[in-house]
Amino acid sequence: MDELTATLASSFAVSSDPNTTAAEHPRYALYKNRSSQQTQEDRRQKLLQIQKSRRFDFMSHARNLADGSWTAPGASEKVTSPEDEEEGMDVETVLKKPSRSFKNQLMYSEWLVEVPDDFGEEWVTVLCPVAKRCLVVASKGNTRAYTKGGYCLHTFPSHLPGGNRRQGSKYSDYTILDCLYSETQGIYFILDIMCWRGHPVYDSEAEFRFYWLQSKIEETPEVLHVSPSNPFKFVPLPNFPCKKEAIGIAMTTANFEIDGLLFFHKRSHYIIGSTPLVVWLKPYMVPEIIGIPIPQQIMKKIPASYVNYKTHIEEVKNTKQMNKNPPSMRDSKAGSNNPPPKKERVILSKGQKKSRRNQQRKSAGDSMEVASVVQQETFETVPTEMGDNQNNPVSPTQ
Amino acid sequence: MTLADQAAKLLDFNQKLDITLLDNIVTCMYNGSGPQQRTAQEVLTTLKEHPDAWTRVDTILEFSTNQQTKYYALQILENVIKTRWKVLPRAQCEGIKKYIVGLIIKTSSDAAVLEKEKTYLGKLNMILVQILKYEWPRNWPSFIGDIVGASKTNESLCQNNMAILKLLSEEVFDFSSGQMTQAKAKHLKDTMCSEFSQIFQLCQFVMDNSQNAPLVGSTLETLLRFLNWIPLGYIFETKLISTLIYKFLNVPLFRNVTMKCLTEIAGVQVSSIYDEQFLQLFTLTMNQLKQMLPVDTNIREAYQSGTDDEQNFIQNLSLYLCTYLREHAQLVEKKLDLHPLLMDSLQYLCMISEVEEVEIFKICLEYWNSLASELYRESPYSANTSPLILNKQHGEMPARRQLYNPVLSKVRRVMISRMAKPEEVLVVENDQGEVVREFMKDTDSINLYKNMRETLVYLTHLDYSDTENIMTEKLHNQVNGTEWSWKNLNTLCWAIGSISGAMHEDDEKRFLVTVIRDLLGLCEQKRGKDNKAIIASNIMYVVGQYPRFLRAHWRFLKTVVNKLFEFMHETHDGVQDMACDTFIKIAQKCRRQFVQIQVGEVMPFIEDILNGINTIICDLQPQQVHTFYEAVGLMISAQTEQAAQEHLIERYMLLPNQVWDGIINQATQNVEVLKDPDAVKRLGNILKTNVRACKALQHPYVVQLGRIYLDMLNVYKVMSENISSAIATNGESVTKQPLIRSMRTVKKETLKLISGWVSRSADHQMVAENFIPPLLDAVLLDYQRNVPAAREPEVLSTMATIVDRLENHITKDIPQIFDAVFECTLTMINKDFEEYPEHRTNFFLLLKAVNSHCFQALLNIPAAQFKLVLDSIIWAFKHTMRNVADTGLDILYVLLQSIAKHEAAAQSFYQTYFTEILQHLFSVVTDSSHTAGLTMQATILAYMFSTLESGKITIALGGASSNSIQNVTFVQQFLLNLLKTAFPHLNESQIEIFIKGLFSFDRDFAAFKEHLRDFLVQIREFAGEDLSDLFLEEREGAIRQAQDEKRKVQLSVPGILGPHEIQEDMQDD
Repeated sequence: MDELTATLASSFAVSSDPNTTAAEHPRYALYKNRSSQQTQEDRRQKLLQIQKSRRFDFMSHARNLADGSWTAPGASEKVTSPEDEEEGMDVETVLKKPSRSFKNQLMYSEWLVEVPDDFGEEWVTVLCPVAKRCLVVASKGNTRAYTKGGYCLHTFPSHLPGGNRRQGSKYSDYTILDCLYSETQGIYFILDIMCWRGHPVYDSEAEFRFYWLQSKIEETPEVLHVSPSNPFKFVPLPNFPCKKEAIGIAMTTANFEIDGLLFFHKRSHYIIGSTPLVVWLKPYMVPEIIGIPIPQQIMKKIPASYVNYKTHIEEVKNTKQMNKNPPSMRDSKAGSNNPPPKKERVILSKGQKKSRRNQQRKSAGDSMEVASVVQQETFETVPTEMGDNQNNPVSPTQ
Repeated sequence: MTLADQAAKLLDFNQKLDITLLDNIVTCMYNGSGPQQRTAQEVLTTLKEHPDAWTRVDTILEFSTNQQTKYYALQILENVIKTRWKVLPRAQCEGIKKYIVGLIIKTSSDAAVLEKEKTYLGKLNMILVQILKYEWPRNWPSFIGDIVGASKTNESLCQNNMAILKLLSEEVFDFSSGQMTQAKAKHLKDTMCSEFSQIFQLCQFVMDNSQNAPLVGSTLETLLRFLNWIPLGYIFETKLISTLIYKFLNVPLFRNVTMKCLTEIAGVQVSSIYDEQFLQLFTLTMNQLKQMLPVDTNIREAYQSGTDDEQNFIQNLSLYLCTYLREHAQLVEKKLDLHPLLMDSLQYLCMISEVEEVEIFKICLEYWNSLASELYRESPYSANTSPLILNKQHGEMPARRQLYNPVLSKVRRVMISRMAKPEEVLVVENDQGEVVREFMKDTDSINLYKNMRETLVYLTHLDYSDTENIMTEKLHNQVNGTEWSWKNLNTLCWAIGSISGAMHEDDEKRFLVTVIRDLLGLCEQKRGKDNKAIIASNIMYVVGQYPRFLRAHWRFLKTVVNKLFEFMHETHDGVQDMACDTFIKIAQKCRRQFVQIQVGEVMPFIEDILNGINTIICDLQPQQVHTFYEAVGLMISAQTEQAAQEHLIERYMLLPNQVWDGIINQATQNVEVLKDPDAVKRLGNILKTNVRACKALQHPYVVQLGRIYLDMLNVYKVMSENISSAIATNGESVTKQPLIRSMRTVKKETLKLISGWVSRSADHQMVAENFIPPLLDAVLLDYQRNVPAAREPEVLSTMATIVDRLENHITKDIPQIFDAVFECTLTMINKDFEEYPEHRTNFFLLLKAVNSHCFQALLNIPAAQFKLVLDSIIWAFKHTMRNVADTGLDILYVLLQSIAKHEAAAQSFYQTYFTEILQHLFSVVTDSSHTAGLTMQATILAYMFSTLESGKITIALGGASSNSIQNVTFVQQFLLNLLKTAFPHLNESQIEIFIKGLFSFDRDFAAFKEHLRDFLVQIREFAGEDLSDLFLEEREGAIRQAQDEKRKVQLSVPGILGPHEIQEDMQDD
């Protein structure tokens, strides 16, 4: 029964995006995904390589979105559904072509599983409010917001270029944004920019896009205010360097309820679909995973069921024990039946982790073996992802 | 000459009929087009309806060269016979009769002509039978002798006479109900039975001696019609059976009709006197069949490549086998030497069950179902279950079950391989222009599923391990690819889901674990999102079908639910819908699990859901969000501790309430916000969420309702004013605009929410005191002041719901409600019977509710208004919209009963309205478009007559000059005058007898109704209308009753009702 539950939890999916944020963070998941995957970091490096040589006509892609039509001859791509292409490529790292509809037009993050070595230098972070992610397309005098599935959530006017009938001569302009819509506040928080006034920036690097976004909004301050022709505010979300202090300050000063933190690789293009070049953490995971303390009032919001990694591992073990025993024994002997954990697991601070990583890097071959040994010994309790092994200080080799 | 002139000429009966002209017009009617054809049609219709038209028939038939014109003439003739035969002079009748007989003999005597003029002759035959219905046997006692005698002279004449006898049999025995008075039908049947020996001899003679194939064929067809009524001796004490089997069954030309005859015989139910003959029927047929169709034939393939005739034969064979086995299998079972043949017959049925034609499958299914349930009921335990029975030897399985066991396994395989679709979802656009998904309740496919599931459940009870093995094997074939396809996988999973509850819990668990593991493996193995999505929804379907399993395994249940949350972010087509549908299905059956603290958890799972609700639903569409909220509401409804529940509700509604408050706050500053399309749309969505929450939470929803109630009513008023002014400025067409439609949605959802909650509320006093006054203030005045197009019919239905629920607690408010809605709605609907259909229906529902629950309020209203009420009731039952007419009759009946209890009011009521009501009732009783309501009409009439007769009417109905003792006479006279005027073609004594009958039958309802029905037949002999629908409602009633009986029986067998059909209180233990 437990095995069945584990299979259901871990390897049962329709889309096979690794570390998808739709599921639990792999590190905290009770049941580990056992299928072997490349590490997040490997995939990142590969993607950064591929995106350089990529040739895709984002100009006509953006125009198609603005027109809401994919039949125009201007669309240079041949008509193949992204589903077909994806066939058989689950394990490979590829850049998928965007779909020819409003569905799946956004860049989605993975969970931050392994903290990258260049985290402090090559990454920026954006704090996300509790809100609904949507694609905003301003064109032909209307502004429309679409859900991930392509459902048109709202239609309204806005001062975004192309988003308002009263813009007159600039009627042919269009703008495409990646937003977070807060239904309770009536605000569209701008997360990212794909196209401004007909100029696509999909294949620009994140660092540039963020700069571009801020400067465009500065040029168009009327989008920041509510008016009859702009009933919703469009507020760009600020970004911060991935430094302890900066993140700490940002979290303390945020004027909205923080849903989580997105980390963007500065060199990443706007990649449609799920990508390891953008990663996600819930606020309460921040201290443990990247070692940055966060304000007390935020830590208070930890779900009661959330436990830190150490407790979590023990809990997994207990569960396993319990399931081995017949239910009748569970209540009376639960305590005594659990042998004390053989291996003490300590969560590493960032410094320690780094040295450990170097150590492991040297013996990459060994570490594979190690992983398999560990797996046999403590089935399901030890995560198989490389990143998790690195966090496990007391592996049998040591 | 224009067509109109021509018409005038044709219709002038002083002129000689111009046959060429008529032929032209008929040709134009059949072959022309456009306005010409239309005019031709009008001319012909006018001519046909002319009372003297029939006098032209003989001329037309004699001189016209056009077959269509002749056919037209015959229609005229048929018409006159059906409606005016009795008013024709006798000589004319005799003339027509002779003429037709002569024509038939002339046309049918020559085999070539008979074949050529088949349709024409068919019509002539029909006319003869219509004449016979009046003439035979009284005016034409020798008819049977005549026709039998004539048949012997000529084979083709004989062939046509067979056709006439067949028609006569059908008219008398199959279609007589409602077409003739009961007495007449009985008389004809008796005559036919007593003279049948002549007919039988003729048939036998033909079968024994004739070499003429068409004649034999038509004799067999005729015989087939006789078989269901002729005295049994003719069937079983003659050599009929063996003649049919030996002489005709194996002749391809006759095998279908012969098979049908044998099926009729097999269906005869009689005590054991003819057992021998039934056994002989079986043996002979089977032996003959085995030569025609070897038992190992692949019937499925044969059917696919077969001709129509061969396909029909397979269908007839299935009917024969199923009929015989259902009626007489027990006879065969007792004869050991016949067991091989029995097995052969079952083998045939198994093979036929694989034919890919659903109608044939349904025939077989009915038999398998009755066999499986019979075997189960005989000894309700499985071949391999309960430990008590394990001790016994396997050989102690009941003998019958042993006999059938090998077949049952094949049947299991058939059921599993072709299990029907259990639910159907239709995507439709509703009145507000929104695309919504609707679950279909009563489609053919779903009924098929129910029957198949029931059969498979019985079969599983008989041997669950066999069911399990077949399913497991077929699942392996999915995994190893030999049977892999989406359709096969769906079918298999529907089958797996269908037997939920039929196994013992432990066996079920073991089985499910294997199934789910294999399916998960399959999902991992297949590439491509399409494949994975199909497998995923099948896994979730199976899981959702087994709530007992889920309730017993919390960790698994939690994982399933978390996986569903994951799927709510999946954009592949249909996955989100599947996730939401499964989620609510699970919530319905496992709700308690989510509010309890489970072993190994720190808090109930509902807390996790509420914490993460933002994230879970962020990628869902509004409709899916509504489903999600209903599901969560169901879980919260399982929290029985009030304070804890209220706390949960508060957090549950937090998100929609924040949005709601935001809009309300904006609107408080500037009411123009409520004209913003986006804001209106969001309000509509929030209200829909509330409606679903209320549906799930029931009465405890009151905490949330209280929170938004007054604001909601204010929004309602503003929306209503906006719509009104929009209509006032731009006309009614503005209601089609998206913004106005969304505003109406807000109004409608508000009303839906309130009536939904009131109908689920538990504290009438509290509702009436706290919630009703502001509602009436907000809604009623607005309704009254609005332009008709902006009045929501839901206002009326909401009021009706409130009255139904709160009963006498609302009586004091009835005047206010009536003042606001009564007259203004009445003026909308009293112009015709069609406009504003929803207002119409709901208006009368409100009237019905008030009448049943707040009768005192009706008594208190002023006389003028009461008259209005009564007029509307009469208006209601005059509707042809059946639901409205039914409501009207219901109201009237209840009103009459209630008023009888108030002596003083009753007498003045009788004086003013008694005869008026009678008059209006008779006008609907005798109107053919109201036959559907006959039962209720009869009930009320019977009630009124018995009231009158028993002297409860103490006031003199005939006015001041009479006294109450004469009331009965007065009413009788009143009716006599009424009916005489309405039906001048009936004679006075006929009407008098009818009126007398009304009084003598008023205590025996069945007889009273038959009496009415006979009168209807009488008045229609002249009116000439189709009466075939007169017995419709009995048939509906019989079906319903049979179903209720069935359900009672079903409840006693675990698993026969699916987990989602059982009432909640029996679940969740």
